[in-house]
Amino acid sequence: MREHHSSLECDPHPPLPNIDQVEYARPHWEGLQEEQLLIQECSDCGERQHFPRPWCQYCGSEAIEWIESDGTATLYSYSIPRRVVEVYEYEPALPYVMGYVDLDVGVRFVSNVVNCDVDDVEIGMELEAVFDHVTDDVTLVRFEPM
Amino acid sequence: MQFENVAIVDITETRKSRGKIERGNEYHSLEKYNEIISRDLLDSAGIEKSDVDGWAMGLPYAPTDESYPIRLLETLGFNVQWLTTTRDGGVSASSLLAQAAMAVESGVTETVICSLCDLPMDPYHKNKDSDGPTWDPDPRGYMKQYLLPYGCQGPNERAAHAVQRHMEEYGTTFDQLGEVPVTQRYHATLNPLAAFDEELTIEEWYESPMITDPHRLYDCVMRVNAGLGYLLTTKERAKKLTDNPVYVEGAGFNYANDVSPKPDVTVSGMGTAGDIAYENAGCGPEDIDFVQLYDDYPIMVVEQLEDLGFCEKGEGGPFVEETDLRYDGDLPLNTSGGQLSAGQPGVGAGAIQVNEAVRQLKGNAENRQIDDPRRGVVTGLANLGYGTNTTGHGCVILTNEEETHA
Ligand SMILES: [Zn+2]
Repeated sequence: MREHHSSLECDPHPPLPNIDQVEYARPHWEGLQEEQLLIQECSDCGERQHFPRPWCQYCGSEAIEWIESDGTATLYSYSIPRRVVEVYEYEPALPYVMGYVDLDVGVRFVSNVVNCDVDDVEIGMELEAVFDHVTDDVTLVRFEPM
Repeated sequence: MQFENVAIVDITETRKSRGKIERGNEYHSLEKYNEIISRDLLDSAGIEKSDVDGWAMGLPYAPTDESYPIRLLETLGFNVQWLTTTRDGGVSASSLLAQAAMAVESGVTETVICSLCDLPMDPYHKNKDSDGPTWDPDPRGYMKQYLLPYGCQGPNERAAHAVQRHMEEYGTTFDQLGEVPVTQRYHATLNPLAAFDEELTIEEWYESPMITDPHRLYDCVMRVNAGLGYLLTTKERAKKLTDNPVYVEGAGFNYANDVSPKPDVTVSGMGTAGDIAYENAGCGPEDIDFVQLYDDYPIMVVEQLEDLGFCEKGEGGPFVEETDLRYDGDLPLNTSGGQLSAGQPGVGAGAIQVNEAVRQLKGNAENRQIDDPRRGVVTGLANLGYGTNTTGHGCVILTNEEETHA
């Protein structure tokens, strides 16, 4: 059995997001650097959304606040890439788990399930966030079994 | 949208190429593919280039530039009064068909070539990491920002979540899902234009390697280069140009259907698009003689059969197992082999479905001809979104009966 990591082995690092080019989403990335998982909440209608949007996708309000998730979640669905077809940098990490991770604060987050054998992954498993500082500027959040 | 005065004269479709010129695969440029489909459509209708006054063009995935559609028309010498373009993934073919039909219906143009030519396996512009196509994600879009950094491996991977969930919620089995590619491959053995036309058994399907669990190799479409097109005009003119015109009875579209924070990946917006199309056509699933459903993955066929009302949600697995889906069976499905066998020609993907529906309704499907079909459903799907199912959907109902609207 392979050694477990909270990161995915990646050479040299994953394709990085263009953090500076998406002004309204910067709090998301700044939060991750501080190991805070911040999610958008609308001050007008109260709905929450992830990924970050420039306005509330439900009511169109610009009054967006950021709330902190405690990182607890349930696995809604998953797939296990065994071949790379788009993100070639992840080839050394194969096989790994892509998860549709439903945060307890009520939004879905697409990320990886780590620190877990791929054969042990199942729908409904309880997860918690782990922060992976992949570069000085970019922190990703992955999820491990509770 | 409803149409009273528009008809499809004919369709055309080239051979498919995997684009590996070093292995002797056929190569044509975009301009050549467009010339081939134009010539075929003009010849089939017996009209001149100057008789065409409108163009509807799918924008290729292969590299082009900002004025490509106009430069292409200039290159081919078309002088038209109406041009539209689209780039909404797998919905492009049904969207262009509807746009062209609306334009003819409105009178802004009379005779329109719809062109869907693409080189997704462009041998001269490959991805640096593979023999696949060049692809630059939108630098500010959610794919680049929130999916690629986590190792999302394209639509094979994103659609796999729907398979996993459909199995979990409804008990759908691999035996059931495997019916789709196996049946479609049988149809491909009867189609000289299919890229993959060797028989496929369920055993061979089971043994094909996992690409991203639970998707096997034979569940995933393979990109091909090809040109596809159709010629539309008014009903009156169409009847002079062909003995067997095909009519657009209804069309419905739905984009970005589910904006809930935790979408159900077993449902798509095809239900909404289909309801609109059925209402336009004044019919329902019981009136449909065959279906040409966008088949990027078997699960998408199963979910569309549910969403379009051929069975209840969750019953798609047993439905495909118990229904004879062959061209001479109960509900013929993707009788050309679909994209899973014919190949996925970039922006022309959904035209595999449109073209086969027109062939069947014209009685031109030769050794896979459905017995006297009257009405068929064509669909297009696009964009598996962030943590959700497809977010682009088109449904078009075609018929060979002229008077259908009460
Ligand atoms: Zn709101």
